[in-house]
Amino acid sequence: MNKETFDILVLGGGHAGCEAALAGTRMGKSVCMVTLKRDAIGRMSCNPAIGGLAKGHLVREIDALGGEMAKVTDKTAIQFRMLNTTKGPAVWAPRAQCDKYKYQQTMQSIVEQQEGLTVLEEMATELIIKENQVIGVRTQQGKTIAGKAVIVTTGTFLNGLMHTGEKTATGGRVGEQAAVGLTESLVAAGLKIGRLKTGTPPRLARESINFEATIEQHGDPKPEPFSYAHETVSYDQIPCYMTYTNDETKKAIKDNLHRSPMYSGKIIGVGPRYCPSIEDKVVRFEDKERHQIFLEPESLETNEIYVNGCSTSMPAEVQEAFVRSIPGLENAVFLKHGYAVEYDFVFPYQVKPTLETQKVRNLFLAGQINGTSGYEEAAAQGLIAGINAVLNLNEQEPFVLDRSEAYIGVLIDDLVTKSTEEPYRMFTSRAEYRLLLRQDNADMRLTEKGKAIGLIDEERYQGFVEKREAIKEEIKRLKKTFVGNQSLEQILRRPEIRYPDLAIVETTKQIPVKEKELKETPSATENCVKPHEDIELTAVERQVEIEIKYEGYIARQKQVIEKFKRLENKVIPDFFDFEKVPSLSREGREKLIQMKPYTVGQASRISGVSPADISVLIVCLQKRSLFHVEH
Amino acid sequence: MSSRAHLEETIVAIATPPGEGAVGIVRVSGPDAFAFAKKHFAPIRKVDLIPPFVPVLGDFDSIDQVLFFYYQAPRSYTGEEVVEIHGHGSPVVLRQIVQVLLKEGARLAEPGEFTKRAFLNGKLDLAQAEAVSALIASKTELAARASLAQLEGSLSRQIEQLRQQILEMFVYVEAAIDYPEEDIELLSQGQLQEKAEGLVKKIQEIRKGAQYGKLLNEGIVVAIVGKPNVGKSSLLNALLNEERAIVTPIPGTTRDIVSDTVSIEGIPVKLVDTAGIRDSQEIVEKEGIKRSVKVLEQADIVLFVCDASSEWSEEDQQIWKRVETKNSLVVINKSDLKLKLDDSRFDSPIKVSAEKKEGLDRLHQSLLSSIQGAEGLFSHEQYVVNLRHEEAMRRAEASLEKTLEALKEGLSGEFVAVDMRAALDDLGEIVGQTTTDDILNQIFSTFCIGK
Repeated sequence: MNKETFDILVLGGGHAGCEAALAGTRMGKSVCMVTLKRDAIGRMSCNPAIGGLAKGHLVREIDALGGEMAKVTDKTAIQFRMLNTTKGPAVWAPRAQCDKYKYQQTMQSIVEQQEGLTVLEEMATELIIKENQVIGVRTQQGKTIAGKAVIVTTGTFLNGLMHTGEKTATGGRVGEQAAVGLTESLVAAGLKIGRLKTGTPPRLARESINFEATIEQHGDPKPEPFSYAHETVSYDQIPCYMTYTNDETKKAIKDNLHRSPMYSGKIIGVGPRYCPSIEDKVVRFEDKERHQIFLEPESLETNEIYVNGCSTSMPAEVQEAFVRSIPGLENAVFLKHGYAVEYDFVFPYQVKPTLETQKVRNLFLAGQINGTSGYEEAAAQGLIAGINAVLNLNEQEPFVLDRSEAYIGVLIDDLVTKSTEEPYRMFTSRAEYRLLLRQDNADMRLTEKGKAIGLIDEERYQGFVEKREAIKEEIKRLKKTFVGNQSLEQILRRPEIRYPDLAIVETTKQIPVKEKELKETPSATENCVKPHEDIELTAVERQVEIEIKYEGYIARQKQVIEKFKRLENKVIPDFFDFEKVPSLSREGREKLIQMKPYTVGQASRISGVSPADISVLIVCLQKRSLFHVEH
Repeated sequence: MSSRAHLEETIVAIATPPGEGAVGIVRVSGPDAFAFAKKHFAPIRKVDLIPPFVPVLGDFDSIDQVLFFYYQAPRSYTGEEVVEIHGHGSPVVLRQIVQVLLKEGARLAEPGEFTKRAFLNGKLDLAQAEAVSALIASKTELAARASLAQLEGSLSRQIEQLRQQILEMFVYVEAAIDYPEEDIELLSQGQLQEKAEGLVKKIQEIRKGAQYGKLLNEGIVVAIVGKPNVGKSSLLNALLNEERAIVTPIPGTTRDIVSDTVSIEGIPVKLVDTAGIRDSQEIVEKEGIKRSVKVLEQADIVLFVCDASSEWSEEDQQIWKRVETKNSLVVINKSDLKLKLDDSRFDSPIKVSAEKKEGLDRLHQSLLSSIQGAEGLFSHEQYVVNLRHEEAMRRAEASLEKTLEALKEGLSGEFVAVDMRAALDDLGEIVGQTTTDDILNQIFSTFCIGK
């Protein structure tokens, strides 16, 4: 019998799988990626875009921790845009349209060239679990692969079922087979499984589209790279296009609703509300006259156009009819039709904040299997699972980010304390400390941690330290340098003053004419940045400007965080037995046993756990520590 | 109420049992206890406030002359910075002191919280800790239940309505941030400002009209009525004597309407003695009677007094007709005299002798249960809860004002959101927290989101 042994097995080669495998290997473990198809490693199954609101923040954080997604994006993107620049910098978000082939190939080659990382093209069909600990997998061909830890990143492939109109086919993506068998292993291990649904729009042939009838959209003139390690991006930027649906589109859809698997009841999985199919939009918002449709090139080298805003699982001929009612698409040639896909997921309250399952030691889950949607959410989890698998094997302290440190922390905390019933997507409104968790300061927040884990190399770290020092020095200088009776810091706080103006103030020794009298201590609301004007700043200058202009709000959020941290730092030990805690409410006890929170802070966010339960919990934890001191 | 942020805040509460005592203590504990309290304390002699355990006599915010005790952490009951303010035992005075400290930024202590902190800071032993654990569980539950269940229905409806309105506006602010690429109809800065102004106005109205405002500021009005010479005044005096505390003479007291406020179990009760009500042609008396009738109509509770030693008369009947439909107690005075009155006409009359001070205990008890029964909200628990609500509403109002200010200054949505979220959290302490899921649900049902 053929038997191989690795430290870590990663099942799946998507965005979660890649980050997990790379992190594991780079932290010194032997890793085997078991994937159905080598050439599909890092594939962009849906929209070939990375980033956007909150998702862009996640990618920056992945980069600051030493992940790969941002770097590959910079190397393969064909349109960069910074979104939300009419608002303050906390909610700016980078988004990039990628060449999906280049992205996939680049990621695949990084994975394949990574020393210590083996790629096996096989289907893992069974988890081998012994005494509540995973020790390997069996493949369809009957091979046993031993692994001390296993990270499952199956995406939409676990019992994947695709729908187009009345037709269904098994598979995780068009033309690719589904993964079978693993669900049974997970169920046998005692995990509760559910079913979710997502969808994708048609792809059209570029030459069949009349772009004259659409609105051209350009990227930013000076693209800002995703990775803090990059100064520039690799490719010239190309435009996307926008058009609208109309009454005819609406009618074509409504007349055929009974043929939609969503409405005929064939699909049982729960779909995401924030990414509805076009049929959903037409039904739920009947009064809306038109819907935006974005036409996005999928590659510089092929003719595929992604029809963003038009996710559908209608029968092929219905899709063709309503798409051709849209201006510019009258003669559209379909390269692929849209479809919906249903897949198995594990209710994520069953994983710990490290993404290890509570029930099976060294078994980790990451990505869509935890009920999320999106490349960025998947990659973030893959990275955290990879890191913690290594730390587990090394018997080191786990790596957990909290809600005040990163969007990644918000993401995982939401999953483990609230679980999810629909595909979970990140939004900035999910983050309580939005003004601090910015895309521009992810390196300031996380590089130190990335270094400590061993995923940020010395050279990059030195660059970071220099930047941090430069920011500190410059802020100090601005506080100490006075023009007249005002420091440069005070002058920069004024809404109408931008950082480059300070140079003029310094040379002319003239304080610019005031629009309104500066109060001695400006209120918090006065310290902030007015809508972005397109001025160029270095990364250091930008940080200095934001830190000073935002100061009031930053201080306010930091105060709140300080309180938050005190409960967050109260760790509930693994062996803690909620059964033995006296006077917990019945519901509180049940939920605590089910969710097994990692800290008192997490316990307090579980619905059904009352403030009284938390008080009792704190008292018991404290008692325990007193007890230990006495002995 | 979010329990997590609570532990490191400075807390304050009246530490002495409810009701009257010779001395009442307000206890403050937490990192800012000394800073908060010191601000309002003016020592009578120039003394150094620093040495612990040395009480200093002085004036507290012109409310009362008090003894000021400062215990430096960790040498205090809770192990934290603790200040105790010993005032004269009146609940009204103590409550004013508490309110001053709340305004400084302290928050009201939860039941058992001082003990909890003492425990957490290692001031109690294990056996005590066991007891505390059980106590906290029962008490916090009680407070939480009281908070919702005892809130007067219409008030909680109003607050819930306000919360919903804030949420409806909030999703416009949030949607503009999270979905910049979507083709959704948002509100203009002007429209948002208009909405924010409406919200500020609304919360001000709610606060003004809130039942608890009346309770906290004026107390419960108890009118003592009856025909002349049944002993109303002596009953009033007896009750005042019984309660031992004449707190504040009410301004505007007229010669013919005598009133005083007493504290029953910590609840301020305004006792109003009325002129005897009867048919009269005499001008001065007529005027007095007119006022009595008005007091009677406005009272929360009526003590109907009749004379045990005289028979039921037409005059009694006239007054009884006015009293019958009100929340009333029947008091048969002069019970020491020979009974001539047929008392079977009443359900459970209270027999007292104001002069001999007999039966006053029973009257006190009946009055108390009547107070607690009045709209079901005047119990001691509720009284504490009301203070909490008032506090939360005050903070919510401040947050809404900041929201409006941010909008007026033309700030970007993420800043406006900070204050709106704070307002939702404040109201959440009364009607339940608004979760991210609530917000997302509202967004997805308001807008067609999603490419």
